[in-house]
Amino acid sequence: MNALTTRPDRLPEHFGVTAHGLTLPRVLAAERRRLRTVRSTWWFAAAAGFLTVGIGAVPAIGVVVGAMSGNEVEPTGGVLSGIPVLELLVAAFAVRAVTTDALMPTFTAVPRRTTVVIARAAVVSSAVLAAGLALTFGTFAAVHVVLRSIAVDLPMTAPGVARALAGAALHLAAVAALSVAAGWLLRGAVAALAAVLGVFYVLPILGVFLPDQAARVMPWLPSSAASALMTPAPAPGLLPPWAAALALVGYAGAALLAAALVVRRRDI
Amino acid sequence: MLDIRTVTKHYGKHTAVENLSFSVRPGAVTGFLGPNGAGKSTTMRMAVGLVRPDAGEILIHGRRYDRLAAPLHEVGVLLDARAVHPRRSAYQHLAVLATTHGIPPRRVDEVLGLVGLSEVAHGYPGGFSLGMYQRLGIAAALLGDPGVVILDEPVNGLDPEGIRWVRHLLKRLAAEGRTVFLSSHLMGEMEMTADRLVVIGRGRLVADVTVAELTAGHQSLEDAYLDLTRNHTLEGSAPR
Repeated sequence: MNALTTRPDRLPEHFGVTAHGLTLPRVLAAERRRLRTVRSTWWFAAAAGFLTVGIGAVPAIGVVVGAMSGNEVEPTGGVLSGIPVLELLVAAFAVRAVTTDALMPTFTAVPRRTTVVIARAAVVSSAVLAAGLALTFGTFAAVHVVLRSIAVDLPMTAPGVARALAGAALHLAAVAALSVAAGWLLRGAVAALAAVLGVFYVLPILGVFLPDQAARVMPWLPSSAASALMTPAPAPGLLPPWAAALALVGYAGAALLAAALVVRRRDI
Repeated sequence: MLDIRTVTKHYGKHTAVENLSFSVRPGAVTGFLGPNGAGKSTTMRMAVGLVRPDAGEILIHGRRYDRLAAPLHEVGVLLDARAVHPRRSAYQHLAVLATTHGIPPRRVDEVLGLVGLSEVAHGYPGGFSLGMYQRLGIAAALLGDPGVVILDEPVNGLDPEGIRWVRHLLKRLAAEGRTVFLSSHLMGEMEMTADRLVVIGRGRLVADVTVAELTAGHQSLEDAYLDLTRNHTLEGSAPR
């Protein structure tokens, strides 16, 4: 029998017993639908693709036109040059995923607020991770083909290259999760975006003024951890890549935990 | 059945609702009346867990809203019709909500048809009139075929034909045995739609009666209501 059509013979007591109920997979599916059913999501994706490929191809084009020599190209072929710009784009996208949607229908459909906070972060971050992986590896493949045409070899198997490409995507996913958390915590898009940019662009500048003792925290800043993940060769003053990845995931998790605690207590 | 049990809510020094208790019974349309700022919207928001009471609780069939396994199937709610994403189509707005409960897409088409929005189903709410927002909000409230329906000012912005449609819809929902609870400032409309009335003033219960009981000895519901709330606000004579 159809449990959903409005039928006059049913009494309210029957409504509680139903095959349709809230489950985490359903909330995740709803969050995915929420994301893909606004056009701005696809504009952000198009812009991300355009910027990653456009900026990432510049070093290779430099080699092709003879402005640079083949051995000046870094192991990643410079395909991650666009990532700093992409950070801004991802932060704006993820903040808006929280601040532009109406809270009331969201929380009346899913009154378990922690579930909403976690599901939205999971869906936004995994979309960014998937797009990030496709873009970094895709741009690398394109640059690889372009350089091979002028007999410059850019091997994916060079030490740290695959890890740096994947690391860039993970970094963007962490930016997305932090931005979702900031969106919940600060509610306004402008304030949340400012907070995320502050963490990535202002903290490292402030860090320069720290005394030597305190400067030991510098490698643990999100921006330093991101650099450690995206640099093929281990560099002095940076964490090992695995520690950097753990740090970024930890910050994102902590920010989301704070967001969930605040949203649980808040009146809508 | 909607049970409001000794609920109190303060916003800073301001008391929105104080020690409020009443029940909304199934099989009837219950109107919720009170001057602006009396605490009607706050009470409705507390019923669906959007606002946390400082004391007391509101129970739906004996359980708190945030403890329900399938909230959309038990309570349909319209609080602020404009609280939708302006750039997500009406269909997809409802489909997102339906997905949270595994409600099939054909039910989305069904409620869009029911409220007369089928033709603009794929249009953006950003271009809707207030009346169309109200219809979309009513569609969302009916999505889960709920036993309890809570509507805050549902006929605001509707044309006369729309107002009559809502009246018939609410009467039918009540006749089906559902609990229907709505607020409105339109006394004439309330007189025609509601069976029972709950009146509050300054966050306290003023009356919990049938329409006939309240109107007795007055020209109209409007007269009776204004009399009742004037007495209440001037003398502060809330029942204790």
